[in-house]
Amino acid sequence: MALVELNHVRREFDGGRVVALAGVSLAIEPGETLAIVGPSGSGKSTLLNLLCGLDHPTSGEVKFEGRVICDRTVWRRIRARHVGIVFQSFCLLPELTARENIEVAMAGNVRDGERKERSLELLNAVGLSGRADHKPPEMSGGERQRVAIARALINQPRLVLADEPTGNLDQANGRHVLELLMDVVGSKGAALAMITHESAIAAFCGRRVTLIDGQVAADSTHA
Amino acid sequence: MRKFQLALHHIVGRPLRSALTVLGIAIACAGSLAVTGLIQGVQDSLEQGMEEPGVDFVVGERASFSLVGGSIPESLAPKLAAVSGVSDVSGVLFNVETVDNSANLVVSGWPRDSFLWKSLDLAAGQIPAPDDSHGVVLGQSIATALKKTVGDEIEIRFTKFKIAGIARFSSYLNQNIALIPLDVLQQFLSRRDSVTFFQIRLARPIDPERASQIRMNLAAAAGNYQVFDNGEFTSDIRLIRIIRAIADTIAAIMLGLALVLIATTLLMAVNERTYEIGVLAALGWSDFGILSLILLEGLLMTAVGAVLGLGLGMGIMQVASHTAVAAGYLRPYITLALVARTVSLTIAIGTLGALYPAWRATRLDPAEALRRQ
Repeated sequence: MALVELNHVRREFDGGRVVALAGVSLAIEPGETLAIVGPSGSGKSTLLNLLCGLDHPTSGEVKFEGRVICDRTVWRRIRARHVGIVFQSFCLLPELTARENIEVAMAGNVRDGERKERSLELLNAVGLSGRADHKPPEMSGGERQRVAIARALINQPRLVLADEPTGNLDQANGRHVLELLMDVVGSKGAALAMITHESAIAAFCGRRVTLIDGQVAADSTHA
Repeated sequence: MRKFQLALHHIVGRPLRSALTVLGIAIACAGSLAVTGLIQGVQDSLEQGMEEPGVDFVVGERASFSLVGGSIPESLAPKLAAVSGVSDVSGVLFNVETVDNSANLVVSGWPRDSFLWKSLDLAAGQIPAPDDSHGVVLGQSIATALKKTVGDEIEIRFTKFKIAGIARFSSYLNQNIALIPLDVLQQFLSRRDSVTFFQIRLARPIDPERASQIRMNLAAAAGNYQVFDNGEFTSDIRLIRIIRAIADTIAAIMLGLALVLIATTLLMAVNERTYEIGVLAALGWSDFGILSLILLEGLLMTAVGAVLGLGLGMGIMQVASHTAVAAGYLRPYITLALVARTVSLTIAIGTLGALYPAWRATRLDPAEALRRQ
């Protein structure tokens, strides 16, 4: 059974004047790594939003673990427990420290001590153990991205979604972040869907989906 | 990270706005406490003042407009005294007069043979002699405030009286009272054979069932007049009820303003933090989680405002009770029940004010909110 599945999904904006996705069908299996590529405006971000219920299809259906999900409350629960999202612009809360930004995403009733322990463990894994008490404005783009990755992984998600996770980073930092993401995702057996403009980055993934004008133009699997 | 810490971050992160909101809530809470407390203080003083000489019942007019407004023939006294179980009956003539052409003073006239004179705890001097037509006994507080002692003269409504004694009282009303023999006050006020009410003491020991029976018999003897206990009598005075209604209205308006203030502040906060709320929703925070975060912010500010408001309210009562016009009538009055009522009302208002902004926050579309970065 696919982890997440889109069936004939169409997403329109402005009362149908803008069609972001025009009947996309796509299934992501557990443990799969997927690169979503395509030109600007091809519907990549909309697709990513639909995969985690941040947006809702105009028509068609989205299934998570075989169940059609329409309710936004159910989607919130799924995102809290099973989905980790790495946003292109990090989406960190500026007034909180790196550790607090991770803790704020922690699902369930977890003791304070355990919260702190788990968040520090992840910060250590992304090489930021010394920056736990720093706030995002005091950190570099690469550091912020690593905090965002740590946050996405805090609940040991089954699906990690990343919108250009290396887009704001230089080549060295980008590669480091990507290796880290692949490593963590691979070791936990989670699926990864990642938007990227770079072929070299896409090559890290086992599958590449190309979107053009809101439609899947190509869907290929690497060896 | 706990929601409490996050809410605290938001409040501390906007110090000026949070401080002004807390101050607004504190003023509303203080105003509400002060107006309610001062009027309850007046009522409590009256009740304690009536009770102090060991009075069990009062016979007076129904729904009298003010404490000084009643007029009952003095001739009713023997009928009331004849009721079985009644130990003492005393007519009382009450009025408010200008003293030394500056302050206002409650003046009470007691019959020369009244048990009320016998209950006095004199700090100095004596009660007016039977032939003394210008003797007066002052409560200790008003004597101190007016810097008067035994033998001094005091001008009551432009007539000179001589201070015969100074009495100790525990009630605020009586500490600020001037006591004159009834016949002198009746002549002075041109109200011959008339009293404001009767104070009645029952024979001791008092059995509640027996007291209830005596009350019924007193009611029968009193005819058109009503028998009250001390609390009923003071709360039945129409002027007090009107002032209480005004005080309650002012308190409600103030708390209403606090509601608008907290709602405005939190609405602004929600609008400013659309992106942040979008992030929380994107991370999977439930509607309840987001709702309770905003509510918590409102509650924290309201709670701090309420605590500050209590202190401020007590300060306002102090200032009000020391103004020349209010001296002797108003006093700072605070009870646990009043504090609990004011704090719980303020917090309820704060929660109510935070509800709409909190609900608005849950309605944000996370994808749309994230685009606002």
